[in-house]
Amino acid sequence: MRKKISLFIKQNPVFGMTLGLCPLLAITTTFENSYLMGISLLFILILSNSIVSLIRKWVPNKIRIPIYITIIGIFVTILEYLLFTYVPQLKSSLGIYIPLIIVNCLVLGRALGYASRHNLKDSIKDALKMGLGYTFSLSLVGIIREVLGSNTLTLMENTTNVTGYLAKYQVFPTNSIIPNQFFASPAGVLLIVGLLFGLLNMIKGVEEK
Amino acid sequence: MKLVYEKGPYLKDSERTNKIMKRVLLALVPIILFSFYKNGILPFYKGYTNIYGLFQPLILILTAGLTSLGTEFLYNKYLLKIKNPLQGKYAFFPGLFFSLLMSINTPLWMIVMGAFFATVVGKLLFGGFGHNIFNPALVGALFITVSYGALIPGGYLNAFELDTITGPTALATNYIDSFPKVIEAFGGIGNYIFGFIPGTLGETPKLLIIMSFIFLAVTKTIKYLIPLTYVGVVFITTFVIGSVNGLDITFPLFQIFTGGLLLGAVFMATDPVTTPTTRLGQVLFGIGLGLLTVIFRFLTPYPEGVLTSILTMNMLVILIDELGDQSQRKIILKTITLIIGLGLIIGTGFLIGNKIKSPVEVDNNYQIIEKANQKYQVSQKGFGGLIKAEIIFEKDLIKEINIMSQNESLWQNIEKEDYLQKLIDQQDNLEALDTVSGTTITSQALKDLIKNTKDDYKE
Amino acid sequence: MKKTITVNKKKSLKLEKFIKPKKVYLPLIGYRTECKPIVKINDQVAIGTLIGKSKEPFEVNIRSTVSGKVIDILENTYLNGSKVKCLVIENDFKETKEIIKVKEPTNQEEFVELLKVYGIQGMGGSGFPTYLKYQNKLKTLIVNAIECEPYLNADNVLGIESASEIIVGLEKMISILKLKRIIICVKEKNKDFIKTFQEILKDKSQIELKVLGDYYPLGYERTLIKEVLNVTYKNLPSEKQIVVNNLATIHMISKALKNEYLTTRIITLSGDLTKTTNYKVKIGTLFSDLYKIEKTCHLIAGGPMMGECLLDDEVMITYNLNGLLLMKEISISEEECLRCGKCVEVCPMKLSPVLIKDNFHNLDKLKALNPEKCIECGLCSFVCPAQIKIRERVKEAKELVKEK
Repeated sequence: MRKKISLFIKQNPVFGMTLGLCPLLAITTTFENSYLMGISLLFILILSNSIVSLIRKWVPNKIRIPIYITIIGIFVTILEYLLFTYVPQLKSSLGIYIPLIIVNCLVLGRALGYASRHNLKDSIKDALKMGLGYTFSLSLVGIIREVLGSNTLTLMENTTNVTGYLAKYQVFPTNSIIPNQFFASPAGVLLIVGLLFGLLNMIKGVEEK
Repeated sequence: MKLVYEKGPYLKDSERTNKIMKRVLLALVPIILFSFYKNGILPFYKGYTNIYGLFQPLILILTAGLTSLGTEFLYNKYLLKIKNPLQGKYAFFPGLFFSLLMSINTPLWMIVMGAFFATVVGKLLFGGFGHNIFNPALVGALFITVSYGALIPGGYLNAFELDTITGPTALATNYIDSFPKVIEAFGGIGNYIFGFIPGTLGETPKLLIIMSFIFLAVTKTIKYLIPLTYVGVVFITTFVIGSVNGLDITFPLFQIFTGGLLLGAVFMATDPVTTPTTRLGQVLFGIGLGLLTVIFRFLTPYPEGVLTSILTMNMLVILIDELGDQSQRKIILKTITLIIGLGLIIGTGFLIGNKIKSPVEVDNNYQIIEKANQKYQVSQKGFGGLIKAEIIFEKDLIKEINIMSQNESLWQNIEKEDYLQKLIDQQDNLEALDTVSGTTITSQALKDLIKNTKDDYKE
Repeated sequence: MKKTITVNKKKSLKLEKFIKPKKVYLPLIGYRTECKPIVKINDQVAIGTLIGKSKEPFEVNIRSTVSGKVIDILENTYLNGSKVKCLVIENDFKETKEIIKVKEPTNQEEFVELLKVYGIQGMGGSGFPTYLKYQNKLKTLIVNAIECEPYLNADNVLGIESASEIIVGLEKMISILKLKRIIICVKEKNKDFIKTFQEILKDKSQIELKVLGDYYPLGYERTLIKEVLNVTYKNLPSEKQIVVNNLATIHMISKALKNEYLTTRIITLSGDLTKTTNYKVKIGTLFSDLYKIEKTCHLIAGGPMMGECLLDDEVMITYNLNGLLLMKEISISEEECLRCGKCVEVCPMKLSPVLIKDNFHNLDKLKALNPEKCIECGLCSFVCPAQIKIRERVKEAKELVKEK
């Protein structure tokens, strides 16, 4: 059991491979933002991994980075237009971090490190693994930060016009300890991420070199 | 006859770590006792608090110390599994210092949380005693101030002072013209130096702090170069600022005795673990602290700069030490650094002096963001930052004031008194309206806001 | 920062003689040099007979200090704790002297030749071949009678006893080497020494007595020259035409200028566990023949700050051993470093031991901290409130930096 958890942590893109930390520190103010970001990244990952894997044999080695970035850029732009047209409220919450997926080291890293060397099926599996792992990590930090920072849990607020549901709950009865302004601020998220790293490392157990 | 082997030297100086710690504790005792007198005994004697209020200062300090002691004990025993968890390293110091930075009105749960945070995040997570980068007490104080700053009822005033002191609080002293008024409001310069003014638990008894400093410096317990340079640089810089603006030597003296500067300089900035070890390093540290404090006090809306400047300089200690070490053997490096330091001090003084000199007209603090028909969006400089409000006119009178954002520390007092409604009711006769106690600057800012908007509307 | 080390021990000027040992053990080594014996077992020798020599890397001549028969060549304890080969001579108590054939010096070259032939080495502890210091043009000679290590008193007693002999020798050196100035340095605590020398030096113009404060390590060459003449040099004092010699070495040179080979020296026996006594001993005596240790203690050759702890009391008293101490057992438990900066304040070479201790993982930073300049005086370990053995860490850092 411990081995399974340890493996899961090791392969997690954020806590095992420290990729894609930028949105982690900026987006995770609410749980909703976190999982939306995660899902967007999953979407982009699947598409980019597939295309990169399909064309891997014909891409010359020296210009593969610009080509992969272009591919990722195409998909991110499509996503950006789709998302912001149908759900304009997201412009204020996710805002600039959707276009920034283009240079997110997770997407580019997997494209260079995995998809360019494996076939289509494996690449898509890897994209799913990474994307879901990323969504999980983001959501974890998002939940902690939102509960501690503003005493709410938002399952669906910005996308209300699409789905029609509004799910924003207050977690604890009103008191003065929580909401804590510190955890809603950037300093707080750095602390939470640091402590999570430490905790997960402890569970994973440090490997002997 | 038996000969035993041991590496030398075979003589030892008499100084020990626990002796140093004991002396620091001894130096703190008069300050704690004074705090007990001013915040506990005096209000109780005058009948403002009950028996809990009598012992409140000691309870706060004790809780903080015990929390930090307990946290370290549990952490060492169960997480790190060390044989003797406390090892006589004076584990309660972070909590003790932290409580001296908090006001008397801090709720007990906040003290516990702050001391816990200070010990764990400020000290234990970095590796325990001797390995931390930041001063743990300041880490805890910063955490509490950022998280719950607005929640402390009554600010820094204890029950007795809340009733008797009606001027602006000492922390609003960056406005150059207002400082004589502040001194008057507290009953003269004597009260100021002896410490009978509002403030946190530890920062008020300036004279006692100076005496403790002399004791600690003579016995070579602390790095005395740091407080000397720190206070000296603040003095010189504010002297230059004052002289550029035509004020005499009382201005820099006043700046030194205001706020937590002396307490921070003598007890927080001389924490041996988080400060430079080389002599030049300590001087540079003091210069950096002084400059940062003056910049934070005069150029930013936050009233107190000591806490953040010490934490900032704590980050730079490794670099400062490298420089200090190299300059010990290369004298030319030392002279160049000191000349640059002196230049920075004088330069900052002149720059800030000239910046503040530009007339502090009412218009500069007041700004109209948007103006449309009967609606105004305006901003006015308050106590903790800008107050942004939406003012709606009907016919020629203000009908509604909606506050969009404010950063005032005692806004709850404004709300308690329903001051906004009072402003609307008396909008043509604002001079006669009293300010809300404890929020002089905020109330005055709101009054100015109304007046300026009305003046603009009439045009 | 100038540091004074105070020790509550009365310094006695009592001098006891122990100059008739049954056997004498003479080590066959010089300064970083191994010497070959040139006599065999059962050979007869007299005082001054050459018994060992070496040419590389330094010229070393070892002469016998007693007359008698060579009975053995074996290994015995040297003052740094290691075992070295030595010649054992049985004393016949006749004190027959052999005349050492060397020209009486009238200029610097002949002086250097005299030093080489007599095999004079630094008697303040280093054992450095003295002739090397006199090979360049010199203007100033500083006679180091500071003896900054606590408990030691040998040079003080020597000065009081042989003041006139030393002054005669110094005057000869002025005319031979064309020196401009001689400065005899002593610390202000040694009042009798100061009185004796002030009397003798009343009418001497080129020799002066300088009284300095009781700071450690003032006896170190570099700090002494800086303190007395305010001069700094890069590698050797001869760059600035200065030479520093210990008082006992000067005494031996004075005797050599009279064509006498000095065979005894004064050492101090002191420490927590015994009264301070000064002994005049024959070079080559074993300490165990001189004194019987009864308690469990540390036996230290030299001073308490830089001395070496020995594991057996059969240590040979050689020219460069100036004191032996019996100290109470110490047991030190190290605590966490407080980063108080006291070690940085006291270091005479302006190093930062606390930073050296923390930078073992980063070799570049370690090199920039210059641990190779450490003179191992021990002040950093002395002042540390957390009782960390910081001098040993700096010594380790020295090794690390040397390898690369």
